[in-house]
Amino acid sequence: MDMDMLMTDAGAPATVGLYALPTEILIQILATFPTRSLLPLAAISRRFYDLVLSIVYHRLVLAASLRGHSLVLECYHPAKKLEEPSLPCDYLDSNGFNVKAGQESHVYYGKADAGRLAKLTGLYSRFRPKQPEIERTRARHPAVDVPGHPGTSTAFPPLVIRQPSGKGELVSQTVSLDADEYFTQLCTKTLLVKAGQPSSIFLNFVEVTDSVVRLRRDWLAKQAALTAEEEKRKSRKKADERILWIDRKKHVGIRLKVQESTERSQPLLGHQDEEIPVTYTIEFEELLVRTAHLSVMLEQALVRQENPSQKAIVFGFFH
Amino acid sequence: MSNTIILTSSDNVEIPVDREVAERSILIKNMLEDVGDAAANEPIPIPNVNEAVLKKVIEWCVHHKGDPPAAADDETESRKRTTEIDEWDQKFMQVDQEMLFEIILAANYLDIKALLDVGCKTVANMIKGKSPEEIRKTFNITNDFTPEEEEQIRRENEWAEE
Repeated sequence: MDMDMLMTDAGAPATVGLYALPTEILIQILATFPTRSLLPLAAISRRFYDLVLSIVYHRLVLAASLRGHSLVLECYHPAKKLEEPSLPCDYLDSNGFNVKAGQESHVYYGKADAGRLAKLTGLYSRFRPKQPEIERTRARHPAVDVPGHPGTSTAFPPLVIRQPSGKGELVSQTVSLDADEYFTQLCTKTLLVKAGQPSSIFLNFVEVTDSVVRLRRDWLAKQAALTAEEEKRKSRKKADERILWIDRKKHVGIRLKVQESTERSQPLLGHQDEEIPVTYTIEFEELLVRTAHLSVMLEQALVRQENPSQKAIVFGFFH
Repeated sequence: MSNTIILTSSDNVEIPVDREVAERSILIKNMLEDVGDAAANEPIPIPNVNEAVLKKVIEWCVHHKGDPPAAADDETESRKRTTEIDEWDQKFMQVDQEMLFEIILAANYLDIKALLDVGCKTVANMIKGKSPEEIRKTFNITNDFTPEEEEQIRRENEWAEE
């Protein structure tokens, strides 16, 4: 098969060790490890570091293609769990991977030192949440829908479901804080769903993240200012500051556009230092998912689907 | 058509073997097809494999003579492959490390896919569950990282810890 490789081994020392094996075989050996157990092996030696890097790189290229899965975002106020629809997400791109051309990017080449894995696993894939295709209309109850009244749906009205429209249309939600509230909460879940299933039934899914984030009053104000500044200058210089990270390890973030709603005007009475009720419209510009985390989650999804007996399988084997 | 062929190892030992057994090796199979039956009585040199290893490889081929041939294209990325090894193969692979790697190299050279797989799985199982330091010890690998680099790598992988 690979005679050249063996010819060069002819001059090797008498004792044949692990390193006598050609790279392709070492990769075949290591490719049996799921990413989480593979990564620590990078610390063995420089050769292992390079092997691990190469396998992880190819897995990320595969992960960026989602391998027959799609991503779904659920985002709702804790009180609205049953009302908010799941938002399917369109794949936009993955930084650092030229998936379409299938070319290796230069992301990890260059300096042959540690730090390349960090660079590789610090890359994100971008998605855009969109309205579900099925139109869902919900009649609001007029009797309790009193703005400002505690416990009303106006505190966190249901998603504004629009007709599926132009591509530029972003999904938005309204968040409100009463005068005595310093933050509001958002439950966010990202799910990997096997493609081809009706969007309302997810039989096969893996949770990518599941967390509750707090939207603080001052943070919302800052975000609104950032959004306004960017719109005004038509720049995206501060786009990274508009990311709401929904987990501690920064696996998933939502890039938001925040606009203070003009519906509710400032009360005429009241002290300046007193907090006032505020309402913001938050638009989901992008969903960012660490591609390496996506890869780990895809592995879990594939293990569940293809191998219910929980045997180890080869993830993203390649030649 | 002769049913026995002769293989010559790198240390010039002639080993007779059933043609059917030898044809588990795609390299030998193709070679026999190329030279035709007339030359099939000539010993076939296997210059990269010594007698001990070649005999071991043949032993494996004899045991797996009746195995169904491997699927034509099982190289697809999502193919399933457990790291479980058949009991006979496990015993077969209970050899010293040098022999294990020699078998893997021979299986690669002779193009015996199933044997290469068993070899790779055996090594994978020797790695599984061990710390980097334990793996270095097992395979006599020198740590060529500085302590700072090692710490850096540990931090690089923190994101994946559960």
